[in-house]
Amino acid sequence: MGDFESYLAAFKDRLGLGPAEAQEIIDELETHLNDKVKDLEAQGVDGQTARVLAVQHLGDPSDIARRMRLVYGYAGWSDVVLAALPHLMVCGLFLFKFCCNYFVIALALGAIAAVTWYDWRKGNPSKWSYSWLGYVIVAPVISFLIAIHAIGYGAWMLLTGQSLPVFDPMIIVLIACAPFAMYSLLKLAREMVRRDWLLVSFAALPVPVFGSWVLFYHSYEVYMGIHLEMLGAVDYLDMGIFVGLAVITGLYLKLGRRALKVGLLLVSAVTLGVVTAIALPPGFNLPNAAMVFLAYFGLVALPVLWKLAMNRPKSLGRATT
Amino acid sequence: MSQQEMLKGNTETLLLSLLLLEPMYGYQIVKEINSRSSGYFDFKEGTLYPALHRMEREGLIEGRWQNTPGGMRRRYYYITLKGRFVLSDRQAEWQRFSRAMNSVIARSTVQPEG
Repeated sequence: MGDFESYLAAFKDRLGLGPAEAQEIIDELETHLNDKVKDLEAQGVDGQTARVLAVQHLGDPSDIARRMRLVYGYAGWSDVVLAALPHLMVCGLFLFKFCCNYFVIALALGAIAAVTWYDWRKGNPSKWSYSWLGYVIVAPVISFLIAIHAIGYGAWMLLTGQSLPVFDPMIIVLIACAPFAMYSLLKLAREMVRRDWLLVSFAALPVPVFGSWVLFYHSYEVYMGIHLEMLGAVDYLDMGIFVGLAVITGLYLKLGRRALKVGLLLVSAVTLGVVTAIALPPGFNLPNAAMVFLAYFGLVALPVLWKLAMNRPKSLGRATT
Repeated sequence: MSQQEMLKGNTETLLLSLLLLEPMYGYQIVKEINSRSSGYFDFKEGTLYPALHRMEREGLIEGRWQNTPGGMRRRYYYITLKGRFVLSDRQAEWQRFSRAMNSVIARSTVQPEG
């Protein structure tokens, strides 16, 4: 069956889809080839010739892969516009100086979450909805980070024989939400990994910049007593980051080849990590900037690199026929 | 117009018409088309699957993996309600088209010279 394997491997290489989608299509083609061989053998053709004929009748793997990519891989312009919309919406928050108005931010995140839920409720999400999902997972990520920080701080106080600090009620709520937040995140991550590891990186694109902005700017106000509204000027660098996210999102959806998508995500992770670290407000030191960079590396670059490492010993799944 | 060009524009109608009769898997569809058209439709086997997957994404058909009694695992395609509506429209359009074509062609048949 070596001829089938090389045919299907060539097809898989040119398909450029996520592993789950690709495997389903490959299984289907392999079933077709096996059916064809059985049919030809029943007509008196010998096994080896039957396999060669089966492959010939199915046609050029590059052509079938190209047609499949048109069905699955490429997004329409409406997908691109819809996918870029949440990034542009957040950019608008900066432009109109709503970036420090927690009510408006909550309203925007609520609207994004509602649209995402509407698209995901049938279990067959659209291409554009993964960029919306990125903003939905920001809240659980922040909740988890604050909870870990608060628990660690409390444990440290107990270990050093000091009394437990009286927590901010908001922090207690966040700690209580942490298990649910983690459960939701893991469930979403598992669903995306099942479809495609690249989607984890794609969806996570806005998490470090939006998360760091909420965390750091909030502490900027709380600990330094400076309200950002008082700074007055429109933050063009942050606006630029979200416009950049919109452009990256559009490119990701329009690129046909998987290798180009991987390259785009890796370059974006490094670039956004550097620019976001630079965009932190004055007074934030190197460790904070390093944390932002690490967040980009961990959330955007690591899933891609992990997947590339797993794929190194190339193997082709077999259909259970 | 070549046979391939005519087939290209009517692939969906052909596939929906077959799946209306019963759910079928890819290779079965190729064989059915070949057998019902007495080999007239020279369907490129590899092009069938992109067409089926496109129709599935458009909600016209639904693919389901099933284990056959012989222990084989195959992906059967079922026509959906939307597919039935689309097929009904296409069939009506085809009837109008073929009636109009026949009425024109029938009156202008080329007589062999000689």
